[in-house]
Amino acid sequence: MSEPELQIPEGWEGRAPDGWEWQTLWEAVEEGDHTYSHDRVQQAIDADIDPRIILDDGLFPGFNLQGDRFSEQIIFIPEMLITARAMKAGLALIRPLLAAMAEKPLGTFVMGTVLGDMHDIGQSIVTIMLENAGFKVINLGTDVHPDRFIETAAEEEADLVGFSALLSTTVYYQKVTIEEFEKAGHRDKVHILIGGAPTTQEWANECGADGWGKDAMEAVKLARRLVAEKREAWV
Amino acid sequence: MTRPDQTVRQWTSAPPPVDAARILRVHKYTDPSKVRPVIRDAAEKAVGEAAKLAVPSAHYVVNAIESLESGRLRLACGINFDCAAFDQHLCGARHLLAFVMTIGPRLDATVLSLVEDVFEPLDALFLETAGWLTIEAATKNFARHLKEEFAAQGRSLTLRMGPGYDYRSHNGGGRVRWDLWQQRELFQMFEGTDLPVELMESCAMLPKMSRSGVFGLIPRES
Repeated sequence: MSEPELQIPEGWEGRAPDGWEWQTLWEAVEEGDHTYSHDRVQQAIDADIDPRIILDDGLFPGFNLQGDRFSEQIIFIPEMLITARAMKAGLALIRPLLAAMAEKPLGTFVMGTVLGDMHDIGQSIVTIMLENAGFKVINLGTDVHPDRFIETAAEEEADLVGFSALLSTTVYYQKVTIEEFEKAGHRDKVHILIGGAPTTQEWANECGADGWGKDAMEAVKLARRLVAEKREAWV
Repeated sequence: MTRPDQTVRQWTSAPPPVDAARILRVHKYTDPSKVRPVIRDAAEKAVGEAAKLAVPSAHYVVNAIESLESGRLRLACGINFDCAAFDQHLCGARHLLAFVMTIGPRLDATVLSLVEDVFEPLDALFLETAGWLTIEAATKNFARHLKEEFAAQGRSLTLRMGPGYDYRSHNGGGRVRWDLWQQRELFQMFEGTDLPVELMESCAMLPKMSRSGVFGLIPRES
């Protein structure tokens, strides 16, 4: 097992005012110090640093480091959630600024737990991680009827849709919901991801999903990849 | 269809204690000494919150079994259940006890609020885990209570079974599922009772931290 290293953004000094440092923010996000994260991002805004640069150079390095550690199973979901809270404290300040600059999200993701399943904590964690990674997420909550997934995906022009299921009895509805997307003629307009404790890659293949999120960070990586592929296909 | 022939009874208890180390183990922390204090503290806080928020209660009703053949269980009240594993797991039972159990809605609501209102996702995750451990422990305590209650009547309990779960079956040796949709029949056994648990159209239960199931009651002489 290799210990992931902090990926320092190349040339960050050139994008920051003289004497500026990001090290403390990288550490704050890594360690989950949401108070410092909020304060340092506010200082960066006050110093007229571009919000996109605050996100890329200031917030992402610590978040990505923890994501890599999570993938290597060096840390677990609780540490990721502490990091997510610190990330969100900073993001909350720059998100309105990014929107005002007409910065588009990485993609639009409709998320929910399938019909018959009331479990929400797992999909809430995935939602948090996707938002932190730059996606716009519409979280439909639990016990979501297939029609509601389809309607929302169409209204929001979603790039991706995610179905969570935590019960062996409700994973079946992941397949049913995908079939409903096909019947509605909307299947080829979105990438569909599935996840949840009883799910596997084999099940994802069987039910016709485009990908399986083994955990929250894998779901983020997969979403990033699928959105990038979709953009490349358009070019 | 006739109504179940017995009265619905209620069992309540104080919330069973939950161990913070167990919450941590569920989240893969096998060595408590290596857990960051902030995470250990959050697990301990969840234990305290769960003890304050959980109110375990179970409603249960007993009905005579008319017949059990080829996986079809017919009750005297007219309700039928189907699962190939019944022949093995309810063998010898003369009565069926159905129960619906919950720890109440407050823990669910607090978990939701921790995510949506105050954004404390770690606290939400650990409280949800504490809730799950609480209802598991409460269900075991309830089974213990039933065992004592029916032992006094000369009856013993079979394995607990519930709709939506898989069971090993003698027929072919594989695993068979008791269909989740039969939650509806199970809840029909409580018709006319104001249960603290709502069965959704999809057969999921609200509050989330709820359990349902059955035990067979076997006369000791058999």
